[in-house]
Amino acid sequence: MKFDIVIIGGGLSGLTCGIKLAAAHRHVAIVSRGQSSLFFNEGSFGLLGFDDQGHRLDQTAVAMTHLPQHHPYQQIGISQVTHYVAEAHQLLVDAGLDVRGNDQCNHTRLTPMGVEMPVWLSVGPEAKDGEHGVLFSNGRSVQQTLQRRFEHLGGTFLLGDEVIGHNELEAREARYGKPCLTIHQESKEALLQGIYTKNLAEERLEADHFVLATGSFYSGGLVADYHKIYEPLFHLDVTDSAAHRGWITGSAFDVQPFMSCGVKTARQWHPLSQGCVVRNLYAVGSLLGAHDPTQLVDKEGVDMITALNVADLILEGNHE
Amino acid sequence: MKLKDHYDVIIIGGGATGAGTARDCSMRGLSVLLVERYDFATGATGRNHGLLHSGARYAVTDQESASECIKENMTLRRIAPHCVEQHDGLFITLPEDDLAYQQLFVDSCLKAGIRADVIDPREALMREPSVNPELIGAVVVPDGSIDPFLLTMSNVMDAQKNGADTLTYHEVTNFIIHNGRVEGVHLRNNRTGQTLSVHGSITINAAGIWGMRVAEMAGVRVGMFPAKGSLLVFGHRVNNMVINRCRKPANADILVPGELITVIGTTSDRVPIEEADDLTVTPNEVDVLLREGCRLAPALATTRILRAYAGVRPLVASDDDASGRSISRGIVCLDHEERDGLAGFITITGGKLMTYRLMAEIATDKVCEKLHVPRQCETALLPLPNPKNAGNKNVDQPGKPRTSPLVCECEGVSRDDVERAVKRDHATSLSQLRRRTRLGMGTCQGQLCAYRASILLDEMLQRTKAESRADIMRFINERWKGMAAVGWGSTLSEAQLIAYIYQVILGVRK
Repeated sequence: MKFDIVIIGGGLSGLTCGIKLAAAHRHVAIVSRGQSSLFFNEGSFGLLGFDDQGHRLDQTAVAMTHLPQHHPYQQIGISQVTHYVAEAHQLLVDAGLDVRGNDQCNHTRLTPMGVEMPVWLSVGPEAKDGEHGVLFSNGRSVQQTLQRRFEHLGGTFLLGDEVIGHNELEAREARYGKPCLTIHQESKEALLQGIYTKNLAEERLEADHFVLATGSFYSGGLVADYHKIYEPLFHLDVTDSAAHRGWITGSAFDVQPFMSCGVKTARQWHPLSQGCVVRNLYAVGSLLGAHDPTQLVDKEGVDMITALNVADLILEGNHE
Repeated sequence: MKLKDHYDVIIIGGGATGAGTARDCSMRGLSVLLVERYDFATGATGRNHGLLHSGARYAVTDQESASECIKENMTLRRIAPHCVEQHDGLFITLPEDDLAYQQLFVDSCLKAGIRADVIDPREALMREPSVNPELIGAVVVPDGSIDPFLLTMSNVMDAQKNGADTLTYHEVTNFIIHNGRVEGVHLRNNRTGQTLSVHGSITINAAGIWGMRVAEMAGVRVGMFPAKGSLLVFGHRVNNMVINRCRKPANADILVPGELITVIGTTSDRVPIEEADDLTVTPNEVDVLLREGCRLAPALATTRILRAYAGVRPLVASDDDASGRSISRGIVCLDHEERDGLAGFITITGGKLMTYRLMAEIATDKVCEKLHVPRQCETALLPLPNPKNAGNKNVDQPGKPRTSPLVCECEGVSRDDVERAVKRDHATSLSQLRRRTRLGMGTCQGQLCAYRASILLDEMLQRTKAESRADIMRFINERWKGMAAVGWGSTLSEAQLIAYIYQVILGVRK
């Protein structure tokens, strides 16, 4: 089965990328295990809530310019990010979500624990003081709305399917004689030829471009074992492969090094495999490291903005 | 609670020994006050394997401990069936062990009165499929498991029924001593800072390792060796029988199942007493526990580890051996009148969770002798009440649908359970709820239930949001500490989600 683009992961970043590409009339498939971190979202979108000193931020556009150079926003360029912020907002509105908030400064969301949190966009009914909400009810409906929007635009959502990971891959490759990832050590480049999934037992999913939107640890995009942190599908290079003792500290509310782990990328979000750039694969969203979404409260912003950026790169590439 | 002007006995320490002593003293008609600086079972009582020892482990090296253990084992099965799981234990011999030790082991067990049946390794594998299949020998002994939190609360409840007063969060700051006699204690409320004094004829030091400092405060010296033991909890129940190594007791050679989980332990290292209040499990200890644990049950290598924790054993050096070479794990009851010329003061220490009742009996006998009370001990005869049933009309019956919604799915704690812990057992924080109901001790380590339970506490106790945030921070931090020591695999993923839920969604941040 051949698509223009296959996206692995049906969470916020995968869906955002898929919606933009499908709207541009590309033939897109999303492979989704069925649950994403959106299921644990409260219907609030963080763009940049705090700086790395823990200070609350209001003027997001200004604050972004002070982010460290390795933050995904800085890598894209702040003026470009400003453009994507508006585009992401519009994408949610077009999908039919009732969105509050504006793109220049944060508004306040009152959490069930009585804290005023800075937030870019909110979806769903506003919480009243002293009221205990049912957690996670809004995030699920965001996921469903975006999925419907993607399918409405002609996208193929392969729900409940799963890409065969590195460990089981060799058996499949041997059976069909078609390798997935081909690496050319001389040119330091690699290409992803196709992927196998659990449900599509007999054929390989092929595409011109692949987008990896598998999320961070709790979504399974990254895995830590006793010895190392790794990316389980293609064993892509990760930013931290040091021994496990330093990943997490003993105090829950301190900065945790593992939160900033991610896959290593070259320019244009191409991940690396054994030091080789995978030319037709892009990494987006929480799988990217270099920032701590718990500390900065920028998770949804990074998810959507990197996804929109990659969609542009793919669309531009096709014009060449 | 209105305190009495004078008590027959003041007991310091709300662990199993203190609670057991309060029960025994109150059953013999004495007026009792139990004081505990934090909550019940916060010390070594709540930080061990939860093993219902058969005593077999000590049979070769310490016959006295072994016979004490088996006697108490049988007693607890009788008086506290609600705290006990009876599933037997295996002592396995692996290829690297000396099979000749097995015969010595069995002979010593039988001599101490412990049933010890040698079975074929193949039968052992049938009875306990998780056991290392390389085993070359197996002996079945009457090990089991015990819930130390429930056991302590059962003793507390029974003592209260018999008229004992209990004060948690009250720390002894000094003794009232007149003419060489302890006549009471000065206390500080660790929550409010308020101070008060209470008077009593006899004061019992049952503060475990912290009893060292308590004794110092009274001006007497008790030579103790704080021995830290670290343990790991696995995410599900790997084994159905306790698995031990049939060799001289060593590190990490006991694997204990308890309800839905499995625990491996322990290490044993002397630590400075200062460390006892804030124990951290080191990477090296985790490595030892994992390596040795996998020799008992290879499945542990791929089983999720929930957390690591540690406790401190109150080992005592005998009086004529200041070097500590002959440290005993046996019970030590010190009559400080005889020993140091300080009347009205008794220290009960050493021992093990298994022998808490016997320790209580020995201490209470001493008190009765001094106060000329002729009543005999009945704690081994009369059953302990089950706090889960008392005053509760809606006890969950197997097969009957629950009437109360679940707050903590991992441990099956319902809204009723939480309400009972608050109303009857005066729990005011998430950590206290945890010790009374096991809330937050399961797979998700409080990820979802801490928030839910916090809402219930807010409603029942009219807490402010700031109070409930501080409580959540303490609770999550405490769970996190145990997870960080084993911070990889699903535990790391779970930690990431916990951080996202509490810091980003709920906004509970530094």
